[in-house]
Amino acid sequence: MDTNLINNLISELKRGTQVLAVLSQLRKNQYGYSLLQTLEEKGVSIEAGTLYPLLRRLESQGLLQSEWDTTESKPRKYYVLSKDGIETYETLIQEWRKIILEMDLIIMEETK
Amino acid sequence: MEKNHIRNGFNYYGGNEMKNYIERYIYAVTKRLPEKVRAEVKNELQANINDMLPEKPTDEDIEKVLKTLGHPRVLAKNYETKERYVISPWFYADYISTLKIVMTIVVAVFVTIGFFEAIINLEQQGLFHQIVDVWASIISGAFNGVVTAFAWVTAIFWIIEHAAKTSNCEATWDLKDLPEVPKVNHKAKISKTESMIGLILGTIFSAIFIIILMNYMNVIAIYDDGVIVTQIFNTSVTDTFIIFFIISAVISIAVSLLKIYYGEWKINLAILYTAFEILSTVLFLIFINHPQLILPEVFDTIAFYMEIGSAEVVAGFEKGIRIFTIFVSVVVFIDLSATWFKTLKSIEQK
Repeated sequence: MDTNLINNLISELKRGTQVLAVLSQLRKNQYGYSLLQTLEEKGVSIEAGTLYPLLRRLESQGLLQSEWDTTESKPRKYYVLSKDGIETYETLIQEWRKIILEMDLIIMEETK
Repeated sequence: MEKNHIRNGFNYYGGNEMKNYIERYIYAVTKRLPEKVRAEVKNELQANINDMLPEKPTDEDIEKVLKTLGHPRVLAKNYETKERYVISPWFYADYISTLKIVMTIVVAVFVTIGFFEAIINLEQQGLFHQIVDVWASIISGAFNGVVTAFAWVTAIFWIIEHAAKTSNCEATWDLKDLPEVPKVNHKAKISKTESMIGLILGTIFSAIFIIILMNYMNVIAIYDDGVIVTQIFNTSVTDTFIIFFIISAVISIAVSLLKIYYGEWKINLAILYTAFEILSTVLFLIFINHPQLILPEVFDTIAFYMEIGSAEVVAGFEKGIRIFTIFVSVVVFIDLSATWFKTLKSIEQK
């Protein structure tokens, strides 16, 4: 089997879940690197080079709010879900549950 | 004010050179982004890199962090919120197929122009130099053609791209807009490669023929020990034909281009091709049958060497020309018959 192809397919499959993973962790304030670490601890691997631009994009889409904290020695940009973001996240969760059920059903039928 | 604060709060512990690398990395990312987001992305990246580095980072730490962030080009692309293209994938296939057609035509036209410019401006010099000149002109014509076609097609598609973006044509397409499936008739098809080769060879041979006709009639002669006994062709006759051969060559190139453009035999193309073929054949046959084309001295000389009468030589020569004339006519007739056979067959099928 072509491992390269499989890796590509897996990362494509995961790509759609990245937004969901990021939104799930942003009910409370997080800065880029702390979010990266939180996700890693929970076994969700996302590249730094993907996460940082993703945060910006989600903010420009109105799902996140950001604020610079310059009181510490290291200035940090904190992100948190906006009101729209919370609603969107909840809708996406419902969709996600539906996808899991549908996919499970299809796969189970096949393996029977 | 805030920005200043951020810059001051950003501390490096690595060597100067490594610190420089961070700045260079950030610059390599932000320079590829729209101007209005550059400053913000720069601050973000600085903060993130700073966070990813340990308290007192070594040069290796800095290198590791920058490598983790990936190629600046990729990172910049990830930061891009909307896709930026000159020609988007939406139009790419059409762009390429248009480019192919336009490039073929424009290059052919430029090459033709280059060729005739070279012929018209030929200076009196050695044949080798003249051939080099003609070739240089043809090559520069081809190069100009490629660049011109590429620039125009790209610019036009770029405009279409922008127009399409605002008109939202993705949502409003109609079944009626779908193009007809072309009825490809393999018998009536004209091979592009064949036409191209025909065009190139035809151009080169006409060039050589016209150059010789214009400049070298005086060296085509019967020699005896390196001394010219007599010139063969009557220059006053050949000179009158030059303009006709040039016109014929131009039409020939135009017909070849049309063959490439249509790619199959159509009725109007067949008519044009027939008209040209007959005209050029007639021109050629008039040329070789012209009674004063060969100087009488030629016949006398041949008669002298062969030790027979001049009248006999002339009669033999005329017979040869007549046979050749019939031969050429038959070949052209067969070619035209085949063309019309293909054309009518393809019309019938439609």
